Amino acid sequence: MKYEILIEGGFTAIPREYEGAIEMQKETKRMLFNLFEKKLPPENQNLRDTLQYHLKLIDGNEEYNACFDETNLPLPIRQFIATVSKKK
Amino acid sequence: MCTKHYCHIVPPYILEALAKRGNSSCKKALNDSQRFLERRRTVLNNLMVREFEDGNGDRFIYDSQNKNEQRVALVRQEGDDPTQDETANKAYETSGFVRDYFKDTFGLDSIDGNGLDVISNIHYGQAYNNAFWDGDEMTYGDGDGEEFTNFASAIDVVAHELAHGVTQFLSNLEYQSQPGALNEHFSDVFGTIIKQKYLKQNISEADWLIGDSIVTEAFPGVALRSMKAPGTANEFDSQPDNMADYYTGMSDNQGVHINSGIPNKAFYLSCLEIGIDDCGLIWFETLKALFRTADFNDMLDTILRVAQELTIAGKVSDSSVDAITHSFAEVGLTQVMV
Ligand SMILES: [Zn+2]
Repeated sequence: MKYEILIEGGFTAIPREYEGAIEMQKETKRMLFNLFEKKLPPENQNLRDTLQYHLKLIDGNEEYNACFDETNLPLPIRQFIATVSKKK
Repeated sequence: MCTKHYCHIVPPYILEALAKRGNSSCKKALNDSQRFLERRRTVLNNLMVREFEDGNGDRFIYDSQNKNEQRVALVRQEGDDPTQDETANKAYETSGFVRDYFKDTFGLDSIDGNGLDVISNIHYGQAYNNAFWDGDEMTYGDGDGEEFTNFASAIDVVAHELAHGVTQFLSNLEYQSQPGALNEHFSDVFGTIIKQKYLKQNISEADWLIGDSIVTEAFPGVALRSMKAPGTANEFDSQPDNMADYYTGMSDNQGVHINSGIPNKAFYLSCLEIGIDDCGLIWFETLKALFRTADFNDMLDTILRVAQELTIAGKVSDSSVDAITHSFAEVGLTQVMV
């Protein structure tokens, strides 16, 4: 599976980009894709300096896009970002 | 004359026009209507709402224990003795210094003017390179140790985040484009002023840097931002110092941390002419007079009106209006005559 991740905003305002490919089990991928499609809670309009996480996952012909903020980023996606950011 | 009751049935675009002319009750109605809308939306979605309660402006320090959660374990609160954790003690001390600066200098009773408790979360996440304000409390990461360290230990970071809270309650500047850049600007302004007070520096001794103490030796730069020379603090620093280089892209909520360099430079130049204390008062009163959708031109109109009023009242230097006019002109901002 290919991934493209952009983390922007934050107090430092230094964007981070991660791009690459990773082998994952079918069930793990499905779990991530489901999180991408899940309805997010309403945005907190008072967030200042929080990070914004833009993610794109490409699995064969399927493409999944999502954007999260600090308060609605699901833990498995946070862990996925931590894993791929260490690969760099 | 716009009475309080009248304002609530006036459409937002009219409130905005009246607020631009300095009508403070319309400004308040405009800002409050947005806040009520947000809270109502949250309630309607059945989410837990933390109500703002009048308090004593007490400090509460929570340890997130490296989870991405807030209010995990209370480790120190107002009046407690120091703990074993130096980060907790530092967050306690610096948040108290910032709270007291606003109280002693401007008579502002804590972040919201109503004694809101000052809540800090430390050790948030793992190797987390950030600090943020979430609407009612502050949260700090430890940094990855490679490029950044301990965000909660830096007075300018703490003052910057707490000032976002002050802005939320005084003018509620929305967080995108020019109002967002002004929001960031006010946080950098009070971050810088309070850092200089904390370090007992005068303006010629000060470095005018933001975030210099949270970057490591390996970080490619000396700080995150420079008020004196925007765009020069590090390899990634793309802040302009003049409207000619204004960022028009979509990143970073349309450049809130980028275009803030323009008013930041104007603030620095103003301080050189009339001193940081007069500027602090003028900027604080301007923040009170601004409104949610204010742009750079509104900022200039408002700050000149405020400087004029404070000069007449004998509270700031007679040359304030001229100094601010020159400083904003230096960064490419002049008043638009209608
Ligand atoms: Zn900020």
